[in-house]
Amino acid sequence: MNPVSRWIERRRVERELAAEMAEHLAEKIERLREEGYSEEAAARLARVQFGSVAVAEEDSRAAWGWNGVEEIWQDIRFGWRMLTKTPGFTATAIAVLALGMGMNTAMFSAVKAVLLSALPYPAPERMVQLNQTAEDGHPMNVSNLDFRDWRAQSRAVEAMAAYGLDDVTIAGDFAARRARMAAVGAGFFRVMATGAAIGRTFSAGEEKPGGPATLVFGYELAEAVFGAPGNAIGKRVRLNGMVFTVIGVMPARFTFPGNAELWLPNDLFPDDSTRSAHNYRIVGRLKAGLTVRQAQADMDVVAARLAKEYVDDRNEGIRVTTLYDALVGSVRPALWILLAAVGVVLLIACVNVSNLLLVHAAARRREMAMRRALGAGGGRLIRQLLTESVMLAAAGGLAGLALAEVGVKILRATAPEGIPRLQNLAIDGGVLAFSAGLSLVAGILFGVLPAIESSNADLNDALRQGAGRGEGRTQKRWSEVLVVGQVTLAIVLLSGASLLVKSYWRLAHVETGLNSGGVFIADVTWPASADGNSVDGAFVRRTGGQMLEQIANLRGVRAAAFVHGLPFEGAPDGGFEIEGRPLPADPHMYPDSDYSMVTPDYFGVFGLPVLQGRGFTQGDERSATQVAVVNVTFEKKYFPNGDAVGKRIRFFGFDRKPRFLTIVGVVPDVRNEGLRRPVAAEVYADYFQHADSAMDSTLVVRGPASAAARIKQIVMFLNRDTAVSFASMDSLISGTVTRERFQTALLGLFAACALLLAVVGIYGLLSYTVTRRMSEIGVRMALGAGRGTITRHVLWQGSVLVGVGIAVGMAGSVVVTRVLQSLLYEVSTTDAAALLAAAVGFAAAALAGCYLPARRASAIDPTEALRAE
Amino acid sequence: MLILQTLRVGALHGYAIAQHIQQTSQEVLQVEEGSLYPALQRLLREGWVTASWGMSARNRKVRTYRLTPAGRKQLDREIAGFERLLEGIGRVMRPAES
Repeated sequence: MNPVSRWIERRRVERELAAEMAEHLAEKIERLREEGYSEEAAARLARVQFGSVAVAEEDSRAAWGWNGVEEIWQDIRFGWRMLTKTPGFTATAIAVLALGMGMNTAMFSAVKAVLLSALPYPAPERMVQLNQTAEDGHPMNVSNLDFRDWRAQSRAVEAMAAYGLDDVTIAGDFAARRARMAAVGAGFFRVMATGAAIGRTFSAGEEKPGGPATLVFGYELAEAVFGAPGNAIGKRVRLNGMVFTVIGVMPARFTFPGNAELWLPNDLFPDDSTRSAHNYRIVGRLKAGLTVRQAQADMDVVAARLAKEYVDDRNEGIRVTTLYDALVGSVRPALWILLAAVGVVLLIACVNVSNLLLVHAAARRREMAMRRALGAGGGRLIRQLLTESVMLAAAGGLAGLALAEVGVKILRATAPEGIPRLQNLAIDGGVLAFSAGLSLVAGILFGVLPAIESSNADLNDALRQGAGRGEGRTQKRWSEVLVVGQVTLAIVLLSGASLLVKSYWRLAHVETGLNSGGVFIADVTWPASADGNSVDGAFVRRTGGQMLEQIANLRGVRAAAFVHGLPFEGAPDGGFEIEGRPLPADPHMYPDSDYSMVTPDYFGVFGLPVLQGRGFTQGDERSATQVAVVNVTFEKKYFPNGDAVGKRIRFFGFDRKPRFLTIVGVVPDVRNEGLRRPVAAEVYADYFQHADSAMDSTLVVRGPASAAARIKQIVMFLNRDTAVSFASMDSLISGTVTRERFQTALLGLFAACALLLAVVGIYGLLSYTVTRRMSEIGVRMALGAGRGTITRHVLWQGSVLVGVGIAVGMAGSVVVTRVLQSLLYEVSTTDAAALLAAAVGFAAAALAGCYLPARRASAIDPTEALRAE
Repeated sequence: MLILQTLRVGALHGYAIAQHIQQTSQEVLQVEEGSLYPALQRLLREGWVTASWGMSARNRKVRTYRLTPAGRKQLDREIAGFERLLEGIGRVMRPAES
């Protein structure tokens, strides 16, 4: 039967039943009248003997199995009436829930975008990343020579491609701009199983050394540069001074690897120098049906073979990870922790609403008792109350969605670049389903206790106690338990946030060694040399010198320099030999150091004093002696007697033909490898002496920001293919900890919400108690209790709850905050100061929450309180 | 079972069924008359009775219920079951006679 005819049928049956029962009663009354009863008495007696018409109707419906839908609908209508009857209560509950649900929905959409969605490539489960691993298991990039052997020898990986990432400047018939370029090896697009949306990707001929210079653009970049992606095809683009032809445009949102905007064939300029040149990352596609574990076993064999064959590969392994893990593995713990944290906030919100409902239920005890008396079953009442709470939750969920929309916008705007795939963040069907499910669960969660509690209302009790006065002992006990639970949860969150804040504070206050305030920086690209593999050194020496001279002459500029290997940007490092000391047989045991190349004023820009010897001078550029300046750590490590100046060292793979550098000076340490890592040994070489190695350089200037426009003109006039955009050195440094800042800010926000909700919970319970006990307090005061006594009494009541909650919460924190381990920097998960700060902070806020009701209690006028009886 | 038994003698409407049960049980079985109707609905649903609107002896528009053949069989089954139960109870209560 279709729903319509079923409905019609049902209306008919109900109509007939009603008519039938009415007839029954009429007949009965008639008979009773005949027996001599008065009209009134007959009607009453008939009704008594018949029993409840409503119950009979309901049971009849049950006989037909119609009750489910009908009752739910009835409950909803009734619930709507009840909720709109108490708008204050309803609005409060919905607001509290909306806060919790909104944050959860927003956070879940982030988790979904980053962790739960499949990679947007065909058969993503077969995609893997391959790394070489050092002896200690640390993953490394791979040399081109090793990569080729891997590709030739692997039997489990169907296709493999190497790639490198670089920021470059592109120029042409448009304003020069920086772009993120991926140099991709042969077969890269086959591994990704993704072709160009317009035009084509590289042909075999273009993926060979000396092939035609071609480029593939990303959809978004092509749109930005050429107006429409289609216009890009056939365009000529200068990249580091070389001319390339655009042959294709990738589909929108294809940005692999690492937010790449354009792709260039890597094999155009292969770097086949040595097996220790770990320059490339490898992406691969497994043969269908093989697991990562099988591929790992296969590559282990390859690694063992290579380790035997080549000294550079000794003790090195190969690790196969799924591409998914490689992409999101590093952010996964933080995201789950944040989702759990926001779940706790919702839990606290639920407890709040649960408590509100308990209070509300006390006011409805008479109603409940009455309905029981009229024949409603306990289960039926619980269902009615649960319907109400689910309705509340649904309303909260809807309001929360609006909030989540805002939250998602904020997340998108503030999220650090380092979190992959977050740009796909959106509230979609899956998120909506999550939100709906969450509402249902939350509604039942916070509704079930009050529902059971109030459906147990005893008729006699409730009716005897009079309107609005019945406060069950158990109800109060439950309220207290809920508040303690709330405090516990809030304390755990606060402790976590406190630990993260401390950790972030430590990280942000690491001594960098640089006087970075007032220094601004810009990336600079130089034209490539003829073979494409290095820089046109003559050009750099000529133009670079001119630039620095002109910039230094600008008003307010104190110093300007070029640097290759700016701190915090991943300085290059390499092995070297010290003149007069024998080299160990194993290349892994060679002395090694970070190195960078700087022009003479570099130390001046960052306020680094020369501790021994001298810095670089203008004369070094033309001198035949290659010079170097080392940092304190370098001297301590390799010349513990403090006699580094005058010694000679030689790097491998530093220049075309490695030469000895004479150490001429020592400068203080700088956190060259970032805030999280200890200072590494570092060698500074003279920039202009090695100009053809300084492909990616940075211009650093100490001076007023107002000079930026002039500097830009100077740089672009002398080097037309450079796009200059300035940033402050401080923002670069703080940019290395944006992810930590982001995590800390989010967890801090969640903890603040938890704190607020918990304090509101305590406040609510106490003010309710005060209202309930108005007359009792009045009596006490009439009997001589001072206002201070009353205040203390109420405060004490609140403090006990808070105290118990804090104690349980602290115990819980010690266990729970362990999950934060991987996110903390130089802070133990049981850091006493941080945990104590959380407890004290909460206690202060909670006390404020207790104080208001306590004051109110003490302000009660005994005469009025008693008269109100 | 009581309703079915009552209807065995012929078609009756709700009020008459209630009266019949009360009177023949000599007021031992005093149930709320209203609870008769859900029971009747169940019987309708099982197909053991049919209902039709007609006029009662007192000239009221009433719905009279009539036993169907299936209802008759069901009644026989229920009576048989009930008698076995009674017999069992009887044996327990008066063991000497057996």
